[in-house]
Parts: sequence; structure tokens; C-alpha cells
Amino acid sequence: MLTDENYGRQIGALLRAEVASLEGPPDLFGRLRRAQARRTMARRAGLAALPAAAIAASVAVTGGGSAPAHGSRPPVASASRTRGPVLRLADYQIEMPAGFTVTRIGNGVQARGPGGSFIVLFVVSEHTAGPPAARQLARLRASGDPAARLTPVTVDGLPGTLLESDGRGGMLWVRVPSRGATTYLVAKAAGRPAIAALPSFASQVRIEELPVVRLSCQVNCG
Amino acid sequence: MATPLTCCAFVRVVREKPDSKEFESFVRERSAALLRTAYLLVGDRGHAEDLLQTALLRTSRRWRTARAAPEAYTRQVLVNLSRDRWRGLLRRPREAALLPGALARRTVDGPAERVSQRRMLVEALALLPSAQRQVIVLRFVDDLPVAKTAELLGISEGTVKSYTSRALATLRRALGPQDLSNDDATTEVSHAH
Repeated sequence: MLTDENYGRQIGALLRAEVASLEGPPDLFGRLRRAQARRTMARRAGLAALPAAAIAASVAVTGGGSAPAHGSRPPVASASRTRGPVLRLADYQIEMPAGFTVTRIGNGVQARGPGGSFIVLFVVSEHTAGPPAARQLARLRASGDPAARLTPVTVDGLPGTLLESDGRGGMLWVRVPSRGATTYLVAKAAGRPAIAALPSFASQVRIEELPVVRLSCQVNCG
Repeated sequence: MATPLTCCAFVRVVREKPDSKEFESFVRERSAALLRTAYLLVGDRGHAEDLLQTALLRTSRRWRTARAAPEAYTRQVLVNLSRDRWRGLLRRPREAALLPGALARRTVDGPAERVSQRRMLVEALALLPSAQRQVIVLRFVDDLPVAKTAELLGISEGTVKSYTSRALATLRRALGPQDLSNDDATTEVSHAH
């Protein structure tokens, strides 16, 4: 019988042979440079976007959406059980929860609901331009941000991760294997009701019906 | 009151830029080897590329610190990122396990047997606990000594040896009593039996 050291060396040699054909991604340095540039731009844009975000939030609360009955905030989850508006986007149809006003935004679909809650859905892929979602998720996981909490969820039968930050905003990332290894459904939500209802809302979504789009740089730029 | 999610919470300040040419040369020369290490650590090509890119970005941001030994620095980041990834996966629903007996399949054809053996090894490696897998990859694929592996993983040398022993025992059980050295890739290894 081989000693551990010799057996380990044989294991190492076999593993090296198995991965010998793996080459680095083409133009890796260019990708790094672009990611670095996006990061710098995001930092600058993020600071500038703060006042604009505050205005958008106040519009959502005071003017956007229909007023909920008795001033309460009906849960999105229960609203999603009935049929809502159907959005046609290119060749796709997306059914949204009842009580939500659906609009198309630059790179996805926005559902604005009662109480100022809103959810934005889009699908991102490494093969599209823009910051790859997987890298962002990896970075968030690696950031050790104490405010970030990860919760496992299931969307359309697929395991996903609900990322919360500060209890004010929430993001849902779900891997979509049918679209490729690094394709994600991304949902971002604002407002506690929307965050709380995000898993239920996303469970109503049929992932195949969402087009792959570029990841917006307004959320979390690389 | 609703507040949109902004990017500010997740954005870190970029403090320094690497010496572009030096860093580019490092990326060109060592990215493939680092990608192979990342792949063996996480067992998924897509995630390995993501990890590598994140690790290289961090290295570039700390180039003044990393330039003395950039590969060691990047490898350390890779190990940390892979550990974070496995911790994250533990919080998610478990994925379907390999079919029972999948590791026990054998072929009779010689070259195919080699390929099958390596494939089985990678699958068996993926089933190891992450700490044991890291030890195997660093010790025997990256050829790091016990002391360096312990330093990289932040554990004692005794723990490295213990993990190595346990991991190799698991791999022996998974691969069965077959000769691993009868392969082009293993000709440098002497037969001990």
C-alpha cells in the first residue's frame, strides 16, 4: 500500500492532468480593466444618485400606485394569487400580481404596488454586456458586509438566494441553469412589504418568460 | 417609507492602481494555473472564473502589498473566496447528490479507464468537506509544503496533516484499490508496491 505522501502525489498528478486543458478566459486583463473602470464609475455615480433615489422614493409613496384600502398595506403574496396585468415584452408575456402596475423600464420590468412597494425583475447573464451577476454575488458574499443577510429561497423550483441589506432594500438572485451556468434572475425590491413578499412574488414568475437583458448599473455596479 | 436599494453599501473605495504592465504580465502568465486551482476548489467552471476575476481584482487593488508575491496573494484570496462560497452554499437548499454507485462505475478500455479514473477523482474530490478539499488541492496540486498550506488556511500543521490523512482515506475508499500511477500524467511518481 502506498504511503499517504506518495498516494497524494499520484492524486495531485491525476488532478493536474484532468484540469490541464483549462485555460483562462480570453482577454482576462481587458475584463479586469473594464470591471475596475465600472467600479470607479459606480462609486462616482452612486454618490450622485443618492438625491435622485430619495426623490424617486418619495414619489413612490405619495403619488405612485393606488391607495390601499383602509390605509393598510396588503401583502404582495396574497395579491399575487390572482391574475394581474400581462406585460408583452418582445416575444415574451409576463403575468404580474394583481394590484400591481407594470411598466417596462430600461432593462427589465417594474411592478409598482400598494404602499410604495415596488419590485424590479430582470434576467442577467455573463454573456450579455455589463457587470456579470455571478461576480457581483460572489463579491457580496465575500464582502463580509455585516448588514447583508442571505436567505435561501425557491423560485420556479430553482434554489435562489435572497439578499437583504439594512432591511431597506432586498435583492433576489436565482440561478437559471436552463439559460446557462452563469445566468441569474434578479429581483430587487424596496420597502419592507415588498422585501417580505419577494420570495412569494418571485415564486409566481415563470423564469423562461423573462428575456435576458443587461444588468443595470444603477443597482450595484461592479 | 420605501427606499430604493442603492449601490453605495456595497461599493468599496479603490485606493491604488497596479503597475499596469507588471500586473498584466502576471495575469497573462499565471491566470490559467490559478483558474485550475479555483476550479478544483469550487468544482464549477463558471464560479471558478468568477472567483479568479474577483481575486485578481483584489490583487490589483492591493498591488503594492501583493507585488512581492502576487501568486501567493491571489491564491490566498481564492482560498478565502472559495471558503465563503461553501459557507454560502450551506445556507442554501442542498443540491441533489450523486446517484448511488456513480463513483463505482468502471470501464474496461485502457485510455478510457484513465479518463474515467480522473473524472471519478474530481467527483470524489467534490464530495470531500471543503477544508479537506482545500488541503488536497494546495498540498498535492499546487505542491505547497505543509507549513505553507497551514499558513494559507489559517490552521495548524497538525490539522493539515490530519485533514490530509482523512481526505486521502476517503479518496482511497471512493477510487478503490486501483493503480493510479499507470498514466502519462503520473509517470514521475514512483511505484511503491
